Amino acid sequence: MKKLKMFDQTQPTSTDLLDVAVGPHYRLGNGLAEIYQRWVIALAPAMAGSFFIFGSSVLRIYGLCVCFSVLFDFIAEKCAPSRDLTSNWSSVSLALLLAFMLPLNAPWWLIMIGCFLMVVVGKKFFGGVGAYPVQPAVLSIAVLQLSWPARMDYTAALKDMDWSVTMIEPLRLLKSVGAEAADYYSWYDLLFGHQVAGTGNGMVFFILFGGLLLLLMREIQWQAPAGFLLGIVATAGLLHIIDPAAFASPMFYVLSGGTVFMGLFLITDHTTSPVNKTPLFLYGLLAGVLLILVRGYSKHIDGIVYAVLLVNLCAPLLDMIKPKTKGAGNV
Amino acid sequence: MQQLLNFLRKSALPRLSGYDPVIREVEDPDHVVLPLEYPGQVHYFPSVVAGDIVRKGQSVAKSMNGNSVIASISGKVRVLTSVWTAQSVHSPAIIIDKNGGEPMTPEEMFNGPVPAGNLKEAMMRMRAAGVAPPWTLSGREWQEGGEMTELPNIETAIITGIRQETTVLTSQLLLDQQREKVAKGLERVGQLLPSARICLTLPESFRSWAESFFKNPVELYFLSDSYFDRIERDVVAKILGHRIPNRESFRNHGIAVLDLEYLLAIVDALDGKAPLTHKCITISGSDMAEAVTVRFPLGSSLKHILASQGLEISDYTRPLIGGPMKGVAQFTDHTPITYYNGIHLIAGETAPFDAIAPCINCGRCARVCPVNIQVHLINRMVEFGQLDSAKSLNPEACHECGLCAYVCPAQRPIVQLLHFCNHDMIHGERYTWAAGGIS
Repeated sequence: MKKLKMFDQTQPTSTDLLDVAVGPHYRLGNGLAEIYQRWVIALAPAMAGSFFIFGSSVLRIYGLCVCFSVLFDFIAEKCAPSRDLTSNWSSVSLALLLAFMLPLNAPWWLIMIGCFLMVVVGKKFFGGVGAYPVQPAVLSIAVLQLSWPARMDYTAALKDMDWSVTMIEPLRLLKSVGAEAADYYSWYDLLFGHQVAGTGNGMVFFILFGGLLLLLMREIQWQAPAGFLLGIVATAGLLHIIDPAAFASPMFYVLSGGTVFMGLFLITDHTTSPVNKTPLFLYGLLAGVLLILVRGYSKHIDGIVYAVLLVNLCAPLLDMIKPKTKGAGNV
Repeated sequence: MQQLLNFLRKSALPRLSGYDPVIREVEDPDHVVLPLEYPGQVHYFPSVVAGDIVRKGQSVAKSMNGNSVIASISGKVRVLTSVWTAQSVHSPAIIIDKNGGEPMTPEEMFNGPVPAGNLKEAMMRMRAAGVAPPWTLSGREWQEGGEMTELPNIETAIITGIRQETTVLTSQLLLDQQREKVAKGLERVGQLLPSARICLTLPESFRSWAESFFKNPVELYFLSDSYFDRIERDVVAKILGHRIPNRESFRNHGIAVLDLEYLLAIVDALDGKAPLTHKCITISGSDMAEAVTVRFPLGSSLKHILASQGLEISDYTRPLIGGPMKGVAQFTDHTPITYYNGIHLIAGETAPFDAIAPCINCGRCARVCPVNIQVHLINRMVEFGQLDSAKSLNPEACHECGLCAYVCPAQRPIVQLLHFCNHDMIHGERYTWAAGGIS
């Protein structure tokens, strides 16, 4: 273990000695592993949902992602010891987030490169868990989408699936035919995962359930998803009123693609989101607005990646809105 | 919504499963150690020398304006020396060996009760009886060669019938068992400070009888069982309606905060019955079936108090003076116990903190902070040596309640990091203008 200047601990010479310490002497916290295990638990419903809908092929994606991420994390820790230990489970939770956004037919080398970009470039280069400026899984997906656009095509990945729904990404259809695309899909199919999307990010209902778990475990705050929903509904609603031919109803935007996944799992990531309540709400709101703008006015189909990256960069600025400290002064 | 979600909150603090309501007496130890200096408080000068025979109740040290330290047992002064006190500071101290001599009788010490409403007389009596009355103490009384600071008149007197730490029961047990005396004490204080608000904090469970028992003009403030609601600085702010800057003592703003136990001692002193020689303390522990409260002679060692209840220090790894949140762990059981309210014993392996865990910016610390400090930013700034940036975020408002470190999932030493920042601030800037140190 690397020795840190500030916490140079000396080991007690005898176990009989009394333990000298300052309070608090009890801790609610149980280590970082517990936190990231909770995220994995919250992702489990969507993993189960994708398993039932896509079959056992999803296990390949999840398995490879987790294995490669943990392996890269371990190697990176051996090469450059840091305080971000492999045992803190952060690479597992990130790996699952990455896997959710990969297409079902991603080859092993794509997954390996994705995991490398996520763990080594996105996380370790910036100083490990807690120090990265943008969500590493999203960063990795952004690089993959730019480098191998054909390999990251969700529609092509699911062309062999035999469902009774329109086998094209809802948002892609929206881009080509306009607002009437919404008529090709029933909200029921969109909600329960029968839509063309990544391995896990289209499982809207299961992701909502996992997000509810996170909220109940007090892992994430309600302000960010609430602001996000408001941002989407307001922006999409406004654009729908102005130009009903090009923009679908807000409901369609919420249910299609990775919107719910982004609102509950990507923008709520601890490290890249603000802490206080007002900034958190504004952050969610901004994410919602950006998402609709990226979807509406760029060539990207499902703009969650760019919306997340952009809004992550705003987090430090938003964090400057802080409540007044009580009892300050007189120093 | 937040409150709706509270039901999944777990608690790591040991709940007091039960407690013994009877306050047990501790026998006199074979020697007592009376420290003469407390951080930020009054400094006493001994009035005895080694070899003197003193009697229980006799004054052995006095401060500049007459506050006394009272011998809690009869015996012979062994030595005047320096000791390591429970708050981890060196202090001059008087050590008295027991010789079984007769205690002083009240008649020898006092000439009857003090007439009601005579503040000057009452003050002299309280000083002589060793009940340091908080409305005389500036906290910096012992400034070298300095004049006594003019202090504002008392406008609010707050009696704490419930203490901050959840494991400390002394005040509430005394309040429950000596209601008449408490009411009498509040009346006496009201007579001494006719224009002041008299406030009493008490546990929520006493509401049934207390509301009808305590008469106007005493204001009652019921506090819940949770630590968060009991933090003293916040309770005082709630009662006042405004906040005193954290680094200033209440007394400089015309507020006296007084433990209920001292209120009872003041009643005894004013009635001419007894000086302050004994104090109560609650002993609780992580594996003790029930907490016990004992009354011990001031200056007894931790060892003596534990032995009187059949407890062995070797069964525990961490004896705390105070409570589980703000208590200070002792490295020896010879520590003299004086004005503290609680002993908490922790057994077995304990994990104080994870020294190298990184902060993941989850924000639990900032959300739980009762004074809205941006803990998540400050603790990282301090960690990476950016003290100037940290100072701009008002870390001085911290009163080290410990909640941030308590909730930290990474088990980071957050309180220590903040303390480090404040300590640096104090010694870099403030130490120069506050000649007497800080309170």
